Amino acid sequence: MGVDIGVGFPVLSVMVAIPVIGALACLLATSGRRTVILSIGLLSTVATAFVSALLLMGFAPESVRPDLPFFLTERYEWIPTYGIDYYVGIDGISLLMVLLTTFLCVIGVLASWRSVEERLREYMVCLLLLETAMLGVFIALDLILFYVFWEAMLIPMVLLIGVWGGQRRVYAAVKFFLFTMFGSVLMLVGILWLYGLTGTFSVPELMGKAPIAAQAHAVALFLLFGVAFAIKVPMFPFHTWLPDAHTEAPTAGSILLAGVLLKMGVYGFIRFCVPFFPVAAGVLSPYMVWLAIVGILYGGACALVQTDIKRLVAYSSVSHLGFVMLGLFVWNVQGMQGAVLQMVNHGVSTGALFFLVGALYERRHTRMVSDYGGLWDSMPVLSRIFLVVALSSIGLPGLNGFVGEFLVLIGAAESAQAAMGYWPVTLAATGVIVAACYMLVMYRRVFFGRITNPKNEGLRDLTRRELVAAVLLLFWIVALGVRPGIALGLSEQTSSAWLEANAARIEAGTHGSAGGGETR
Amino acid sequence: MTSPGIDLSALSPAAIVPVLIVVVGSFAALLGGVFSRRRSVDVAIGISVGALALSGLSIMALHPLRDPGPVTAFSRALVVDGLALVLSALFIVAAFVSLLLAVEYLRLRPRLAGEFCALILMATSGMMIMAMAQDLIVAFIALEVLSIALYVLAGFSTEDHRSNEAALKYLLLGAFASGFFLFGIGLLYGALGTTVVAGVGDQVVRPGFETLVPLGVGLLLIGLGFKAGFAPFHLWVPDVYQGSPTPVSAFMAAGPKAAAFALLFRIVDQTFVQSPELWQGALWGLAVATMTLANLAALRQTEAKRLLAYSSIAHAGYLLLGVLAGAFDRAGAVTALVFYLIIYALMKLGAFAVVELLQERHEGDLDLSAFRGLSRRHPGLAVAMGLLMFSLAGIPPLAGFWAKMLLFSTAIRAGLIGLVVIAVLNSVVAAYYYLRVVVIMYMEPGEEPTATQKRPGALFATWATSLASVVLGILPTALVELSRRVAGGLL
Repeated sequence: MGVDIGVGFPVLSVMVAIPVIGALACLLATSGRRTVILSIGLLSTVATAFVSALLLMGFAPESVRPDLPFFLTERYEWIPTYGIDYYVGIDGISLLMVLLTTFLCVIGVLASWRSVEERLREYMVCLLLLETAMLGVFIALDLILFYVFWEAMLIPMVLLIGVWGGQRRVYAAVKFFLFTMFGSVLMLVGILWLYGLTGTFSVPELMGKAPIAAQAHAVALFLLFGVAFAIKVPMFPFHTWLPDAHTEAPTAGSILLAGVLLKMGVYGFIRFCVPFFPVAAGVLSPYMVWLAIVGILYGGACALVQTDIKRLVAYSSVSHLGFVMLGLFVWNVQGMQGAVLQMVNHGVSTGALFFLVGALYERRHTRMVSDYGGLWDSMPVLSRIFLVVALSSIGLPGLNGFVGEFLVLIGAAESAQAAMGYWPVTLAATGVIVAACYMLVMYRRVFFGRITNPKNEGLRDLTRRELVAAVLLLFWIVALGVRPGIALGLSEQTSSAWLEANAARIEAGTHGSAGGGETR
Repeated sequence: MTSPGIDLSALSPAAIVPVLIVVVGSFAALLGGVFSRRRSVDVAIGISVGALALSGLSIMALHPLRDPGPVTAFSRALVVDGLALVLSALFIVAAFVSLLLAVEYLRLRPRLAGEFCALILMATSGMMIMAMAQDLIVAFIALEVLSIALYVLAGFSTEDHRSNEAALKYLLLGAFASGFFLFGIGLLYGALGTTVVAGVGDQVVRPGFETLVPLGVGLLLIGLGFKAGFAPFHLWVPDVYQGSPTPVSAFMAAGPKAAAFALLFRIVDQTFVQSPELWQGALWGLAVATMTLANLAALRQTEAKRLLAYSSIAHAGYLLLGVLAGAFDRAGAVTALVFYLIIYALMKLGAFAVVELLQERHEGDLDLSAFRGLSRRHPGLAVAMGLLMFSLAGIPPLAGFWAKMLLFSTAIRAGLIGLVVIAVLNSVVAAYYYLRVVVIMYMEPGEEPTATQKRPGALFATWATSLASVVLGILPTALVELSRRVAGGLL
């Protein structure tokens, strides 16, 4: 059983509410001075991070069982007529995601310190509301509540991209909005259909009911939910919004897009798609594996030819998230744990990359690789930190990226013995090499060599504020590399319980009719 | 089946007191406007608002929600149930907001203030009766009271040729549609010997006249489809919304559609009982055509009122899902419809209030470029408009989301999954043009001054509705409950 923190202290709700209160404070602040707004923003995100750290006390990772997956639950009636509740709770995986979110939001505020020049008040309101929505997505245990948070995220995000973004920001914002909404509304159909079949929106209840009640339409429902999540991840054919959105978003927007929003897609598969429709997931998993592999290689190949640093990092995300999806759909503990860890790793490493690229952009106002060169001497601190982060993104042993990818590959290799052969794991491993190619080539061209462009001389190195953020990020990059157990320990029990429960569901499911997919 | 003599006890005129108050208020406003030369605007508006308030109070006195059982009046010609009363309250709100928007408009033509107010109230009474009608002839009369008032209101800016065009177009097409409606009633009477709505379903068809029933109901559908603005009978909507004075456009977007849907639901509800397959296909096709055509057309609009007009048509298409679902889950469908109509009316009133705030004159075009730079010049107004647009697009946590969710949920339970998929894909298309308004306000460069007019009424309406979109978005519980109880007390 989870330990309650105090009596009746609704820690999850408080956590979700703090950014909203911060946003209101920004709106009502009589002084629109930069420092006031920035302080409110920093204070709220730090407070949220602090409260999220409290969750660790209330969560006993080793006591997660397949029949008792969620902790710190709170449940209040919301729209009783339709059985919609305000129902929240966490398990090991969502806890990790929550911690990642609150951490990256602090980094996001630090990254906005000087880069946002106009309409700072509105900017901060958007950022804080976005944080609430993201946290809500990870803790919601009611499908409608989940959907509300999931969609509510769109409004602040589209404004962040569209108002404070780069040159093609409007195009990127609209594209992001329409892509995401396309998936979301199909998911809404899925949610309502599932409600029609089972009569409940409660996630824990659905985990028991849905696999049986929805069996006749499992594949269709899996796809309705899955499209929304696949767009968010993004999986291969649905990824085209990502390079635009990530490139054009302001630094904090890119950090949160890559660090958190993409994880929501994976989280959706873990929390909803697979447990609700396990048989369909089993049927479709070879396709998912192959799409993941295409994503790894295609994302890497695209990253190879990018001339824009931010775009390169964006494509590298497509590749990294391919690893996550691969780990998830090979159906073993190594793969699953690797996927979870890789989500955290990618959040930290790519967040750090976007943060550093943002710092470069602030100084030079260009993202083109060719405009740089020779920064090793002119910005010694930034270039060394960048090197560590780049190596972590490639997956150098000793840094965080290695452990996640390694676990995923082990998982894939192990499932190869069972079913799919060695092609998936071989191809995926190639992705690691590709990653080294694009990252190191980019690094060489930006930081090594002689300064060819006089503008690159005498650039200001990282400021103290930037250094704080960078060191925080570096700390986790190294810590997770050396002792991945700090993250893996939180999710281990949840992952194996998840696999166990799904195996049981498949068992129960296949004894009925073998997963028909006909729709009405 | 009704007795030929008049049973006085069955009249129960107390049931229609809310309507009577509005009618009396209408005449009083007309006279008040005439006899008070100097302050005719204040007097006329004052009388009208007073009458609306009184009528609202009388609705509460009839408290359908504590006792939702239906009361029939005038020998089953009218039914005063929860649906009728809640929608009447909605019409009162719509009339009130339109009058708020119209204050400055009327100051420019004080001699006509009385007439304007009287016409708005008259239209309101027509809509109230429409929502109560159980007899097709009564429904027709109510429809005409509404329509004739609207024809005049559409052309109220006599000096503006757009307004004239709108009125003439509306009159010609509207009269044509009324003809269809009346012809439909005639055919049904021929086949069934009754004009009572409930009778259409109950009655035994006279032998040899079987084909008249589908024909008659089909003609009724065309007549109502015109009023509610279904494709392909929607072509008047953009022109009329664009040409009419903005307060009138707001009124037309919010009120008559709800009235038409109430009547449509009552008719379909009664005729579906015996032969659902007869109308399902037609309504299915109408729904798909309406939402798809409207959303595609809206993509290309550059004028705010036309854009809102196409968005109204699209919403009518979604609402048809509710009507269709009514054959399977009556209570659920009515809950969803009532909720949707209320939310939709509020959002539309708010959006037109914003248009009114940006228009120098009160009629004519408002190019979307007028929204450019709004977020800098008037950040509050831009936020309000943004909220209304996102709410209309159905993005949570705003009220519009719950409207869509309830509607689609009901439709899915009725097995209309294909139709719901079409509808949600349509809502993605729609999201594009709602988002475009936000893009223009927030993301497009350009510092050219967007002047707003000093219009406290419109400002109040804007804030009230956008606030409502947030509050009802986060806590829709009470309104859902209300809609649910309305559905429970249906005749």
